[in-house]
Amino acid sequence: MTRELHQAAEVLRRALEAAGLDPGGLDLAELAMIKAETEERIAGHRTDPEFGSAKPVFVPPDGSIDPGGTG
Amino acid sequence: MPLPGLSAALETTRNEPAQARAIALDAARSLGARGGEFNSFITVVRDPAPAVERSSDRLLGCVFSAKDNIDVAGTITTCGSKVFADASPAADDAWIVKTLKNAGAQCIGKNNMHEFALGATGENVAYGTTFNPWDPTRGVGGSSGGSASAVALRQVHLSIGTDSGGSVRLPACFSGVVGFKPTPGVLPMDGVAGAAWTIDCLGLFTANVVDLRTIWSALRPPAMAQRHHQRRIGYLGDDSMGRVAAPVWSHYLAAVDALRRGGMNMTPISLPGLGDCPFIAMTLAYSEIASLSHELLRTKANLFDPRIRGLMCLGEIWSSRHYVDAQRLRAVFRQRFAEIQKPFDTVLTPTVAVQPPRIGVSAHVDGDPPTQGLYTLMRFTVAFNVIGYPAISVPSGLDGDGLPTGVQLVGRPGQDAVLLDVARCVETVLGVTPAAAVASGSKENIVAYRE
Repeated sequence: MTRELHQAAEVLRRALEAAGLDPGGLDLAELAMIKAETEERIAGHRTDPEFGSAKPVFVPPDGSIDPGGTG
Repeated sequence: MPLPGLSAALETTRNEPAQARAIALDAARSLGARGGEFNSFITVVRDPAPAVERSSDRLLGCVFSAKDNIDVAGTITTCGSKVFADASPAADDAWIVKTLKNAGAQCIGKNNMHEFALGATGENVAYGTTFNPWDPTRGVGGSSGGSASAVALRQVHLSIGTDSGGSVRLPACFSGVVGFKPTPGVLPMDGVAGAAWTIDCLGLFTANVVDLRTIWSALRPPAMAQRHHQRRIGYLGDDSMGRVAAPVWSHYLAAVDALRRGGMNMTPISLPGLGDCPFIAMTLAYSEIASLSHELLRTKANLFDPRIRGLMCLGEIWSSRHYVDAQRLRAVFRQRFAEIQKPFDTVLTPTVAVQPPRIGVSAHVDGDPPTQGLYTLMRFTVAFNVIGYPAISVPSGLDGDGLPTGVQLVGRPGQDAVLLDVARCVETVLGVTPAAAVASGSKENIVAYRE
């Protein structure tokens, strides 16, 4: 485990404990990698040209059911 | 006695309604504990409630099962977890179960699944791994793996699953059966436990598209004459959604060629920018299930598979800004895909980027994030949960290693019946994959794995 990954795992451990969750038995290094990669990939789209005007979509997405469809 | 095909069963009960009960009892009684050596079931209903036996019921003679996060009255809904192993049995049927029963179908059990539907391998520490009926050294996929396995083994005509990232289409592909995720909201989720509300969807597994259309027409009678539609298919022709393992890609291109020769209008397209959909889905699913499981994570932590609990814990600590960003991105990707799809009736992609992985081995293709087998498995399917489009995996035959393959067709929101029409055309060209050819010696392979 690299030093950076070890540090990320420790940060995650403290965050879980602060939230009242038990970090025992968890692969914190793997979870820290998943967390970092996921946050980075989502945040990377904040500079997409359409993002500024995008509103959240919750499901069923508004208008997803075509009233003229054949169901 | 082997379960008769759906068409034959429906024909039999049309003439003799009372035969429906015999068909269901035979199907239920032929199942071993947990559905047999492949672990396709968690609960078997040995004495299913008799159907009403009206010959007018469209699905009288149909035998079905449901993933174990869907309520069936009188059985425990375990969500594939020890957390709920001692829960009270469901008092009522889920909407989908009730609707199928009202149409004459009979439920013979609850299928094995990835714990809390938070995985795509079918490996389950509480109820045992679901083995791939085509090669028991490989996983069946998930999270609705038991459902796919049950249909591939022809234990049932239909199984109901849930699909928040590909959990119906992916195991369907790995098992050589049809897996359909309709437009979100078309099938009510009442009575489905532990769902990630904003991306989850009920889905259907059948042996072929003909059976699926029979069942779909009972669930959603067409409200109007079907529109004329051509067979214009835009097919993914490059690696804009990430790389695909060589044997899968070559088989996919062969399927594209066959469809072109079969009279389909096939146009290559790129789908750039959808490759990050797995990260959106992970953000939404982990957060939403964490919200549902907030108390359980603190009072029954020791009963979870630690890998599943870890993912839920991530959902607890992600920022609200991160969650809302993910929801906003859905609108961006939805608009991008709508533009690409405009000239086509459907879009075709591989269903999965890899062959079914060996049990215990993480799926990976060059270019995918290391250690994230889930990303590799759901890369093609999850995009259409994120943007809310209907999609179906249709078998495309066996590859050179004798493993099932599949292609994914994506339709237009609300036009599920049109998608099924195109899927039937595709099936006509590519053929129906037969019942899983359970290899001799499979039992020995399973025993060897368990040891």
